[in-house]
Amino acid sequence: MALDPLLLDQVLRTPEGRDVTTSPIVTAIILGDPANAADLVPALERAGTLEARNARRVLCLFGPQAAGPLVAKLAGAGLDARREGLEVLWCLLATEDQRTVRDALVQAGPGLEVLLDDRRPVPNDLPAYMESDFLGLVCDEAFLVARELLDPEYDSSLFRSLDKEGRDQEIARFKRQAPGAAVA
Amino acid sequence: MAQKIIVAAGLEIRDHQGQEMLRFLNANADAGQNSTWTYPKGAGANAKYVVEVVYTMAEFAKALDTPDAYVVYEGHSRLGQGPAFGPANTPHVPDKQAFPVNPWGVHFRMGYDATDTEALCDLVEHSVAPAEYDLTAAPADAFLPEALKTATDKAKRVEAKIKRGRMRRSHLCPVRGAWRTFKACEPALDATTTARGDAPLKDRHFYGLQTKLCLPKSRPDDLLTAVQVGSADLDAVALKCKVLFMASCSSRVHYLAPLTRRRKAAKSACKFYLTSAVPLAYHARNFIEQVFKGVDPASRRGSKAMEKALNGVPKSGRVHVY
Repeated sequence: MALDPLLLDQVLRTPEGRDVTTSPIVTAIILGDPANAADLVPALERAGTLEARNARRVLCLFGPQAAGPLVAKLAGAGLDARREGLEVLWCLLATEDQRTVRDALVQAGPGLEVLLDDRRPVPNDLPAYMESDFLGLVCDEAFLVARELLDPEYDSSLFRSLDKEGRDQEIARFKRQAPGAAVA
Repeated sequence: MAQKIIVAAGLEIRDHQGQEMLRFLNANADAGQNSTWTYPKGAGANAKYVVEVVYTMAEFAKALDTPDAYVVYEGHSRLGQGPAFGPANTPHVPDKQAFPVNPWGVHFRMGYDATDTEALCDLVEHSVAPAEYDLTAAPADAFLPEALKTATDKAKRVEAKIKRGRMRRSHLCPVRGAWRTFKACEPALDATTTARGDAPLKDRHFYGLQTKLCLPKSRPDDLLTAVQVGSADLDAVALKCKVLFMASCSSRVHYLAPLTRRRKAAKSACKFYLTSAVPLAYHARNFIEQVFKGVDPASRRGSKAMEKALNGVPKSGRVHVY
């Protein structure tokens, strides 16, 4: 059952100085059901806002069971939410063992396929002083997140050095072998 | 005894993320002498944590060998060339009089034998001329990232064709992966002189193109070249610290393998926190905040909590513990 929008709104408006992760609404209600992760995704669309920051912090408190609902919702979400959401997926799974990661990515399979097909550039809002050594498309980010989760030792330098065509081929190969069709 | 946290604030990033960390420390801890802070406030000699902020390569090296310290490097990865340090507000092309040695070209060597770097967005942008790494002469057992291994194979294949007379060196410019000179293929770039008076691309080679956001849309492709790095500075320390957090761009890509190799050789138990992408978060500040809250980044449970907290903020660059 979807979270009460008023309750959710109250949590997402928690001021910066207060720790949203310790809110009783978060600990007793929101985190009680991994499916609730999906209800936090729309707030990720509002990049740079208090609501988006709080949504991300709360999302990262979930366990690996939230990966499926999160990615399913991301499949229908906008660009900012997808970018943030992929980092949240990392947050949910990077600390888990390989079997758990694999199971979670199988659950997330259909949504992940959508992200692996998203050829829009990741929004570039990095300040000029950052040396952005790689800034690809949403599909590239989705690939790197899934690939590195499945193999923490994976050397991504080659993928990052490829042109778009080369990266597309790598992603196509991954989709044939990994998540959903792939991971299973 | 107080737990020591040493933050090495790197070139340029010290002027951005570093300032936020100082604001946090000044607001939440007692400032002492020589860029140190103690926490909790008012604890004096009974402080639980001592934070030291350092700004030089020598201090970073010393930090890595400080027994049981938590060390954070917050700075540029310099595309795998290594941490770089310098004064506050160092410009991208430092004036030769004020900076006889260009700090953008001095790195703590802790990488692969070589890294790929950008002719325009790095070498020209910072007026640096690191020693070139000849892809066609790379030994079979060279310690290289996959990207450069592949680039080496391609360059060697082209070179073999030239040696067999199946390709002419004068026709190399359009050949993908060929190790060709700027002089022959990009003469204008070969002659480029920076405001510092250097010609960083003079007599240099490149092997590929990559679209870069730092360049104008009229010419978005940068030229990739390979430069020598090595791990001389890393090999000189025993990694006695308990935790090393490389809060720099894609530190996992550039430094995981060299760090792992050194950890094994030095029989160190240091835990590495590395990023998979470009981090824009205030990682040093957030790391310290979590430690002040009682999170132990070196323990199994604590490192999980720390990792979640660091990734819980936007543009974390995907932190993981190795």
